[in-house]
Formats: sequence, C-alpha cells, structure tokens
Amino acid sequence: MTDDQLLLANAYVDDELDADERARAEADPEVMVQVARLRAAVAAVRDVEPPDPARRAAGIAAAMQSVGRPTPVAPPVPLRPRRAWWTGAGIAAAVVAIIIGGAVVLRATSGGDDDDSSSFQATADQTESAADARAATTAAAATTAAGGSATTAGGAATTKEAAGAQTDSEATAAAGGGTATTTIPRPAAPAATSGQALTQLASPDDLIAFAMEATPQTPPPGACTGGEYVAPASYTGVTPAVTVQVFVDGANAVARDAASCAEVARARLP
Amino acid sequence: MPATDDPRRDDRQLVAAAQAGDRQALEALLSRHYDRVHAVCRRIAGSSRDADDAAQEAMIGIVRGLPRFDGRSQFSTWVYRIATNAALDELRRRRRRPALTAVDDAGGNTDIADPLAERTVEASVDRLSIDAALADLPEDFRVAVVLRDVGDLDYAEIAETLGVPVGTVKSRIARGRSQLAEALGNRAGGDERPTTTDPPDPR
Repeated sequence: MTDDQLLLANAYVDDELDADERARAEADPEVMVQVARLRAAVAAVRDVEPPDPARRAAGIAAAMQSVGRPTPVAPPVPLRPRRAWWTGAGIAAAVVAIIIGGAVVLRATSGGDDDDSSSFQATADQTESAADARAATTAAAATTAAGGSATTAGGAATTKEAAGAQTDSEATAAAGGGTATTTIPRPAAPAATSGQALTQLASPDDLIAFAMEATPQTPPPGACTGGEYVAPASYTGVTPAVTVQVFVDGANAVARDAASCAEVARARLP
Repeated sequence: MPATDDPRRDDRQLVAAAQAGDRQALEALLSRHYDRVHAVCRRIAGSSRDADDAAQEAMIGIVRGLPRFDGRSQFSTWVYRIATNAALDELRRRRRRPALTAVDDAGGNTDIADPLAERTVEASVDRLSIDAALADLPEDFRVAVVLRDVGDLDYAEIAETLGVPVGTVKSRIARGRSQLAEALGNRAGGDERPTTTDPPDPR
C-alpha cells in the first residue's frame, strides 16, 4: 500500500473524492480492501458509550454555576512599602561603624601590649578616643536606624496581627485584593481573610463549600499554582492543622499546603 | 428546571441569546453539545472518568469563553477545540497522578477506580480493544482521527482547530486510521488464538 493509495482510501471513506478519483479508487482492489478496513476502524471509534446521565447533569450544572464567576485575572498587586532611603543608609552606616569600631578595638588591644613606645601609645590613645567619638556618633545613627527598623517591624507585626496567621506578603496581597476592583460582585465569603482568622476546613465537604462560596482573591506573590486560586484557609482535617491555599482545579477543589504547596486535600465539586 | 433543547433554534441563535444573558439558551447549548463533547473527550482521554472530568471542564470553558466567541468559526468547531484541549489536559494530569489502574491481559488499562468501570469492562471486548488501539496512536494522530470520526469535523475545521495545514490533517487521519485498523485487526486475530484457560475440545 503506497501513501497515494492510503490517502485515496481515506478520502474515499470521507467522501472527499470527485467522480474521476472515485472511479480510480474503485478500480484498485487494494484500495477498496483498505477502504473496508478503514470503515471498520471508523465504526469502532464512533462506537462510544453514552455518558452517565448523572455525570452529564452534574457537568452541565457545574458549568451553569460558573456563570458570572469571573475568570480570575490578577489585578496589580501593590508592592510592599519601600523603606525610606535613609533607613537603608542608616543601617549601612551602623554596619560600617561596627566594623570600624571592631577593627579599632582589635588594633588598640594589640597595641596595648606594645608598651615599648610611648609615642605609639599616645597614637593609640588618640585613635581610641577618635574611635570612641566615631562609635558614639555611629551608635546614635545605629539607634536611629534601629528605630526605623523597629518601626518597620512594628508595622509588619501590626499587619500580621490583622491578618491572623497570614504571612506579611499574604496580608499585603489580601489588602490589595480587597482594594482591587472586582469585576462581578459575588456573595460574601464564609469568612473573610483580611482582619479575621482563617476559615477552618475540617473535611473535604468543608473544602467544597469553601471553594464554591468564598470570594476569589488575588493570589499572593509566590502562591502555589495549579488551578484557580480561591483563598487561604486553615485545614484541620489533618494533624497538625495546616494553613492552606484553596484552588479550584478543573472539577475539583484542592487545598495545598501554603508553605510547601503539597496537596493536603482534594474533593470533587458537585 | 433543566432547559429543553429547542430544535428550531440553531446554534447561532442560541449563542446570541446566551451571550445576551439568556440562561436557558446557554443551558440548551451545553445540553445540545455535551454528548458529542463527552465522546470526543472519551476517545482522546481514554477512560470514562477522565472523559467526565474533561467534559465538565470543557462545559465550564464554554461558559467562560462564550462572551468572547465572535462567531467567525462554527460554534461546534470552537466547542471541540475547547473539548480537545480539556481532554488533553486531563490526559496530562492523569499521567502525573499515581496510577490506580490494573492492566488487563491484553495490555490495555482497565480503569478500576472508575465508577463506570464495571459497565465499561462488561460492555464489550471491542471497546477495550479500541481504547487500547487508540491509546497506542501518537497523540497527534489520535486527536485528528477523533475530531474527524467522533466530532464529525471536516478537514478544514480540524486544521483550524489544531492550527496545522489541511494536508497535515489528511496525512494524520490517514496514518492514524491505518494504524488503528491494523491494531484492531491484530487484536481480532489474537482473540481467535486458543488460550490455556479454554481447554481444547477433546472431540
């Protein structure tokens, strides 16, 4: 069977031949044998068992439920607040001061043993005094820097507290999600994640309910992947309970460990 | 209450109505195309369970994509493109999942985790054979054959769906069917061989 004969036989099966080609095919017994074999194969492929009626109804129902549910499009996630330039400069100055101070102290210590030259001692004393002065100055700078850091840390702590067990970035993203324009309003989530404790999911049924009813949020930076992100939650169906990110992955609701992205639970949506 | 499919309204009318927010029209569209979508998914993905998942995914994809469907292609062509992608996605997902299957004597996979498995197994040896034969085909050939023979798309529509030239489609279908015919012929021949479980007739 040549390629030409094979293509001719297929075109014959698909009724894609004009009269001349058809006559040519019918005049070639080899082609007609192939036609018979191909027709048997086509019949076998077409003989598909019908879908289960319940699954059919569920599939259509699930699709109808998705009407009006927006395909998650990640709005711009606000960047974390930048530190003021002087905060970084203060930290750098403090680090430099510590290094210089340490070097001076080491040098002064080694110089202290060298008592055979008063001029060297005097120089060392002067250096030490200067170092003390610089240390005092940089200590003040370091204090300022530390204060700045403390303020930042305090801000982060406040954010964390507000977001419950969420991470800093999650809280930022959640806040971003809260302020971002939602294209189509949806029913309120069983439990909002911003400013409240995470919803506790004790079973796959809870997971299904949460996935179906929670308002989809913007995935936090570095979120797990695999489906459409819904929201974070706490899954207590395993010991110990883990903070999870809930996704709708095809026809399933999936809870993934927020830290490792390992799948914790999966349940088929109705 | 489920929408009934009104045969007097063609796809174009139903699409227009559904895009305007008519839920009944949308449900009628989904209902009209579900069985064929499921069949395409069944043949591409290879099992009832995967076909159910893929078909549902395709239905959701249709709903979500419908506002953007511009009618430049046939609705059915667009639908089968979504179904094909859903089935291929399901197939890839399944390959990543731990196998919960048993291998039958013929070397094909019997989907024992499938609630419909019993029915599938009992349906006929022919169905197992066609599943195995299709599974042996290269994916490109299988998809082209399924879109032609199950989806009833013509060569041009398949070319549009797959983004390949019509000549490539013809070639894939020809080679795919040929391999399929050969595999089915071999399996049929194999079935005729005596086995140790059936002792020969002493007469």
